Amino acid sequence: MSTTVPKKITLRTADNHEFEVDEAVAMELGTVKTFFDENPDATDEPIPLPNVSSKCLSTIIEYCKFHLSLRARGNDSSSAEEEGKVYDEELIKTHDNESLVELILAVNYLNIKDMLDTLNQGVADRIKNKSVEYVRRFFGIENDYTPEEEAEIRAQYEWAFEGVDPDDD
Amino acid sequence: MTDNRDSDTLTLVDNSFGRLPDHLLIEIFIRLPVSEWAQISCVKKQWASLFLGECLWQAALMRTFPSASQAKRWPGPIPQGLSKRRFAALYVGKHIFALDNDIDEIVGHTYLFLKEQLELSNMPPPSGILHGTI
Repeated sequence: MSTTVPKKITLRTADNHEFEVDEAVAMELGTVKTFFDENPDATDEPIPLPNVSSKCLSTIIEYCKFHLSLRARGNDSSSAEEEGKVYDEELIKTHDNESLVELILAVNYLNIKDMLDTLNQGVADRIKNKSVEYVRRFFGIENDYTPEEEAEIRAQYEWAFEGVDPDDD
Repeated sequence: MTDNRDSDTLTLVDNSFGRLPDHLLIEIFIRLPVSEWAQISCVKKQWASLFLGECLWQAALMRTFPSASQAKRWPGPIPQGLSKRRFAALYVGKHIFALDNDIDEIVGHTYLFLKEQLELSNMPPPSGILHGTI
């Protein structure tokens, strides 16, 4: 086998799209790596990813490619770290709540720790220092407390309601 | 049980976040400042219940105090307790006593223990004593 041509791996999404990626990129996906670790003789058949849409997978592959290239540059400069940060921020910014959650579920399934950390932090930042009502509205969460229960738990945590950002929607 | 008055809107409303399994919600919550955890509990019962479980505190412990989560021999008579208790002790050690090493958890536990003892002694005596029946 030639060592100059990187091995390609084909991934097939839930909506039946096939993505051919370099082995190094595919190995960023923990689930795919585990599959190959456990099946070293796996053929070139496409690997089915039944929980991942093609939209999510293309975002994920872009992310892995970018962060692989950053890592390949090593610790040559702090600019790599900075670029990674900017990329991650942009990734969060370009996703609304619904697609962010979908991406989180896909990344969780594919077991990509760094990307999952970034996305979870992104969601946390969106609900940081917001009022209870804001969080419910923002994420479309149904309040399942009775008024009595809610009054009780709020009284219990009264101290926590100072200094919350005013609702801005 | 056949109340489908607003079942359609419910599934629509409770869409995105309802799909996240508990372990992912926990990962999001532990990335918020500790001071906001009480508010999160007020959003939804299911969210509040996560703060009563060991899983969340275990994860919070590992994330906020990674060095403390390794198993260590525990000295002294004050029980170390579950993750929530350990988290509180470490938090006290770090933020009240400004310690940041192995000693902080012990100091924190001591603080919590003494505080509880003081609170106990401040409680009104049993009414039997007031009435002079003992």
